[in-house]
Amino acid sequence: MRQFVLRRLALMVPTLFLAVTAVFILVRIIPGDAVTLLLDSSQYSKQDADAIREQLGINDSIPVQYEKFLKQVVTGDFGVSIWSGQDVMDTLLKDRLPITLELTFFATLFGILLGVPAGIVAALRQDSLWDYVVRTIGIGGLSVPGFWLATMVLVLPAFWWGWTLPIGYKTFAEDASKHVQQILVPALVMSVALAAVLMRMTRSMMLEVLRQDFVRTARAKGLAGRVVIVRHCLRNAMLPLVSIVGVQVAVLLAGTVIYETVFTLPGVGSYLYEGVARRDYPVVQGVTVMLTVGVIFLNLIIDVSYPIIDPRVRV
Amino acid sequence: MLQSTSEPAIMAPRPGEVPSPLRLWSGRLAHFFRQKPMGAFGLVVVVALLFCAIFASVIAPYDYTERSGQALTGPSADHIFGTDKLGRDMFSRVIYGARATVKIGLGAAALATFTALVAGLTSGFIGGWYDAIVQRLVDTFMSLPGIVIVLSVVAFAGGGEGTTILVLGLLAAPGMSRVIRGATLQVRGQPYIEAARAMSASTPRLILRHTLPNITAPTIVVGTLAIGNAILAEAALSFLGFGVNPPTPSWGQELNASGRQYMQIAPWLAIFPGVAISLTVFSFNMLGDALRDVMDPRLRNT
Repeated sequence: MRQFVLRRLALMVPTLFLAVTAVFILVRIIPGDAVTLLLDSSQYSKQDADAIREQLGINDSIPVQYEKFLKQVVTGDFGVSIWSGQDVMDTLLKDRLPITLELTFFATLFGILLGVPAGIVAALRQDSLWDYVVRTIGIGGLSVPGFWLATMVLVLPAFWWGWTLPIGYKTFAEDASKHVQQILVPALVMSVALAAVLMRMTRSMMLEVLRQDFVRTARAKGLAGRVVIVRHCLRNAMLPLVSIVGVQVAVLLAGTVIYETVFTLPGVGSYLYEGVARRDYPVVQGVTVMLTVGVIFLNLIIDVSYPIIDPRVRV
Repeated sequence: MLQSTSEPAIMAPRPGEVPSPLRLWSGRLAHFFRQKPMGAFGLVVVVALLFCAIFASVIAPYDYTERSGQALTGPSADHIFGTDKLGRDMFSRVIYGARATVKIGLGAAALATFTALVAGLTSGFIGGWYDAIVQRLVDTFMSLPGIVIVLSVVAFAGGGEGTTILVLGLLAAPGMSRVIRGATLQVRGQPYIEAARAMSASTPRLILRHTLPNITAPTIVVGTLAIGNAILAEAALSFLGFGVNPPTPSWGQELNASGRQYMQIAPWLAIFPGVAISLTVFSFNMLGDALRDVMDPRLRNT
């Protein structure tokens, strides 16, 4: 087991290296000069632009830029924000990350709590009304854009009852009840897509497992229905579910750009949004690299969790 | 359309008679409509969408910039989707918005399909160390957080249609190339490839003349699904304000947060563009799923 984890960790180094290189290339392969755009947005003077060019090292050749970029990635020092003058990594870790993690955690939790039981029941009562409802949500939930759902959640209650979420982000210590609303409502909206995917997957995995011989055996030897479902079926259906949850959490994490912007939560996602809107390149680079690394770590955790869930995978 | 499906005569040409291409296709279409009603629904919506995009100027009662009525009036006979904060007709803006959707959706999906074909076909057919390297790269690209990379690129290169198509297309390609590679591996093992090789056909010829025509089914399926995803991504990007440049209307842009104060008193501004996006994406997904079931049952559950 330990060897397995260590080998995975070692394999991660080239993957990380390739991923950040891919980010570097993708960002530079598309034509357009960052600083010209900065000037277009007319918040800066010519001198500013030259200073920023210097700071960003855009005048350097591509290999030199790449070297600098790698250095930033390794040290985690992305410099200071052009807009606020504050250290990018500092802002990220201290102010922004906790909010995003809280949001993503609750969204994942809601997604699992909504999706998995619904999928199980749909599989147990195949072709019932409930099954059709689950299947419809499973497909429809993926077609409805999250930002639209979020917008409707903000717009419709305001139109009907004049109710809006508390404006201005409050930490839990400042105002617990406002904070809870500000986190849980967005988390619930975010969880819809995850729940939809999980419903679909749980249903089809359960249907597959329910037909297996060992389930019949378990039933035949008189085990309670609940025990058969939880211990025999669910445990076997888990492996693909865990990998789906992992992939989807990565999607959620990236999706915070949209949800945090809609719900004006000052997390990592809205930091990236602000960075892009203000053409604040150190911020954009810092957030992009951090989220990329985060997603790859998440993949590692999923990989490592396989043998714990399913001993058959252990090599 | 459904009535014509009940006539089996279309399906079965008399023996010895070669069916005309028109007959063959209408027969296939009728069969598709009966077998996959949801997929057929998707097809109808997709055709309607294309129609709206091409004939927007004919269908829309007003120009998308024309201030044709009072600001923020609800749906009425003159403005069936209501008017926006400048008094522009929302129905016309939604119809014209189909253009950006179609252009970017098809453009990105076409680029993605082409890239995926090049990568998947060569990787699957040539194999060996080349395959190993390409697959490593595909793994890497698939592990990137999509929307974050898109935003990052937009920050450096600026938004607009061209950039959007380019980034969305390039990011969608790796996942699709996996499916194409899988199909290529299957075809490569077929005896007719061996036969062609024995007749000293070159590798490019083997790939282009003998493999490519035999993997069209999975390619069409992943391509269709890619259009839906690209449309969703474009909408999200325009919603954030980095996609299509105003005043060109785009469904995502209509929902942009800057208009939220108006949406709270005029919810039709938020409802119709959102329904348009959802319906379009749903239709492409349904169509893709149905095509997969009909054309290539092996791909089910991918």
